Amino acid sequence: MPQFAPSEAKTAIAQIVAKPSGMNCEAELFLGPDDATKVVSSGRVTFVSTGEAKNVSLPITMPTAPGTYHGYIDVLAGGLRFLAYKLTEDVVIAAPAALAFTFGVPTVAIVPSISAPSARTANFSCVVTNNNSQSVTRTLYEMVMIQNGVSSERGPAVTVTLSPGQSYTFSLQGNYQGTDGGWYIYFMIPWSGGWIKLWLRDDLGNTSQVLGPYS
Amino acid sequence: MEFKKVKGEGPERIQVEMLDPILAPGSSRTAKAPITAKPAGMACQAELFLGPNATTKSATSGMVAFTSIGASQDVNLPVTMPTPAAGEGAAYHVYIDVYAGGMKFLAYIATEDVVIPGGSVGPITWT
Repeated sequence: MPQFAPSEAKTAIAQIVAKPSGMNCEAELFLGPDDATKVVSSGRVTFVSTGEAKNVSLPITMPTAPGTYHGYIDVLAGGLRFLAYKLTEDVVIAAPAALAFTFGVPTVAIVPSISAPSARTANFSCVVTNNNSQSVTRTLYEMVMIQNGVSSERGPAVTVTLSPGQSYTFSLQGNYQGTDGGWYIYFMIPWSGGWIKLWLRDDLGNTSQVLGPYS
Repeated sequence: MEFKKVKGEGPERIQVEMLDPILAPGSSRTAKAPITAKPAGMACQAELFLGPNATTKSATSGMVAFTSIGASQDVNLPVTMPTPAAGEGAAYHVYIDVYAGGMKFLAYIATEDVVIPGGSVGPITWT
């Protein structure tokens, strides 16, 4: 069954034979639950019959509501509907699947804390690429899991829009400078005496490779 | 639907009600034809028929009897439209003949054909 996105504009090309030739005709394509209910319609498209097969273009905007719709084509001459056809396949309206970035292999470097050099933190980096044929926007979160199994975000999330083929390097430095000018860290290693693991996640729940444990 | 005279005495053109240029196959119509037959008192017959020419009758009202009054009078001529073969459509000339004593003395032909449309819709492609 043909599947389209809600409100997508499409054109159906119907091969219509109308006899005799020379008639002023109209064709209409509509979608609906039955032949009396027009959810969307091409409206009446005029053409002159040739007595032989003729391609008639019927532009239509798909319904906004997802679902399955019957398709119908009516052909009229002088206001008389003389052809009435139902499409052999229903039309399915479904929201397209969300597009995601492709994650590269992340890297982690364990570095000393600037504010307390005896402590350590991690610099994290991961390249994401848009391998889709259209622009995609996703929000990226660096995730940390501590030894008790609890996960949380480490550092601020980043929202990125990439064109097809474009890449972005997500990078989070473990040391950061606060508004007060002081230096702080995102998660000390070890954390509460235990290890941590790090990875990148997007707002769809896709994840990169998990790195660690680091202790 | 307008008819023009082909033969005989009478108005050059007459307007016949209940006939449309485009009709559904097998549909029934009763054409109301204003016929002027003179002199009054004649036993007449009128026939409306459709066909590709004046001698081939694809559909006909048959002979409808009436008595002339010497002036215009409405004569009802019921006819069932032809049913072309499946997927076919056609245009038909329309004729009205008037007889008295078996002699055709008045003949009209419609100025436009009656069309019985037909056809088919093939598979569609989406772009």
